[in-house]
Amino acid sequence: MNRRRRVGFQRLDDGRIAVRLPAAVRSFVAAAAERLRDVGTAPGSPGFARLFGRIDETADADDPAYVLARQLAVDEAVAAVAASTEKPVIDLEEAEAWLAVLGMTLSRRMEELGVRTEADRAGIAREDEAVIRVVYALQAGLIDALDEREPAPRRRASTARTVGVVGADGAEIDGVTVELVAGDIVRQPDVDAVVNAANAQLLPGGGVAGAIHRAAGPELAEECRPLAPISPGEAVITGGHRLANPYVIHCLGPVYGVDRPEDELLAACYRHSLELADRHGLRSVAFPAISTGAFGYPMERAAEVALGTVLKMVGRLESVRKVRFVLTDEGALQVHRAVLQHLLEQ
Amino acid sequence: MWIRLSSASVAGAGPAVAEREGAEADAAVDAPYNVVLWNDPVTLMEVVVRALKKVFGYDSEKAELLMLTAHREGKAVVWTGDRDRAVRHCLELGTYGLQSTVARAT
Repeated sequence: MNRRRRVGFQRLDDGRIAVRLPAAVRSFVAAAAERLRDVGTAPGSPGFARLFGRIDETADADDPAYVLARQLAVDEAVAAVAASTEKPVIDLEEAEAWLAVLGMTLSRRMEELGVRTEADRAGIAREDEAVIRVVYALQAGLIDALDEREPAPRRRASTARTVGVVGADGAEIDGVTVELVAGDIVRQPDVDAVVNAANAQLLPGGGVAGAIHRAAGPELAEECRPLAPISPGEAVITGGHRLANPYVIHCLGPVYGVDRPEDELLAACYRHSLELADRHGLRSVAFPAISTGAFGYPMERAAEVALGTVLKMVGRLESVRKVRFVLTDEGALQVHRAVLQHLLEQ
Repeated sequence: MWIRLSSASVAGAGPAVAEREGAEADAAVDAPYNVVLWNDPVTLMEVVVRALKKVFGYDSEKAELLMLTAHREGKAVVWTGDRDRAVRHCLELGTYGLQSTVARAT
């Protein structure tokens, strides 16, 4: 029995678990599940021998009810994993199934390698040891996420202030809450993704991008590198790394007076970001006022495009239920509040 | 928990099993059987603890004690009760990758 280190799973506010794993690791888990399909029914197989063989010595190994129970237990875990390896967010039952599939996979592999004692364990080849390390990291990450207490009711970042538009939290349209707050985009711990007003190279830079990269740590730039460059209006998604949010959506806003047509490109930022969030099953997204900093977009004009685009999108969103605008100061907040009221009255 | 074995799906398990599954207090008085958990050199300690908590409903302290017993002594009796439930618990431990056996309590 061994010690471990943590990896890529994060318990969300709604109790589910965000999965942040490279595609290769997801494929590894999917393939592992696939290979276990016969483990409950193939008495001669290494996996069966290790997992159930010794139990069967004492049980009625061939009793149909027992065989069925054995296979059902395996099938259920395998099916749950097969159905969830591509998901960005999994529920707790799926997480338990991942844990089971990883456990059975490790056990079966050890049987294939003939590892029964600590001495056998010490002699494992380097490539097998690497696989074991991957399984350990996944198991530890899953257990950390599963063991985390049910999260407290949603709380607002202390620096953020909500402005009442329709209700105290903003406007609710088609079941989607649109919130306006004054605060810091990197202190929005209760949303699934924050949007980064990025530069084309997805590098740290200044403004919102600088703040997000500073808070997320150097791993964010690392993950961004293969995704760059992006063009105005385009959006890409990455993990949140050291941020409280599991995801960051990066989009490149237009430079006012340079990238034309500005309005369409700015609208595309919001549209593409929300589409990405929706496709990844996210529930909540926080936007800064894109392009209004160094890119020179006038605040009121930007607010009209941003809020107008979001209001147009709400009816089409399937999983996103909250869109928050995080404005840097009182002035920007007032402008957005007026624009939202105006748009809602139309 | 994703393992949802109905009492009817396990050999010989009668209606009595359905009352309070996994509870220590249910251990049958006559003809008791032990679930013996065997140490293995690869399974993470945390996985063992989690499996014991989920399968038997133990608290962290008890699960960790049993895990450490298996780790140090090579095996640990983790549950005692009737044979059918003992077999089912072994099966559940197996789906976490753990090795266990059923043995008549002496």
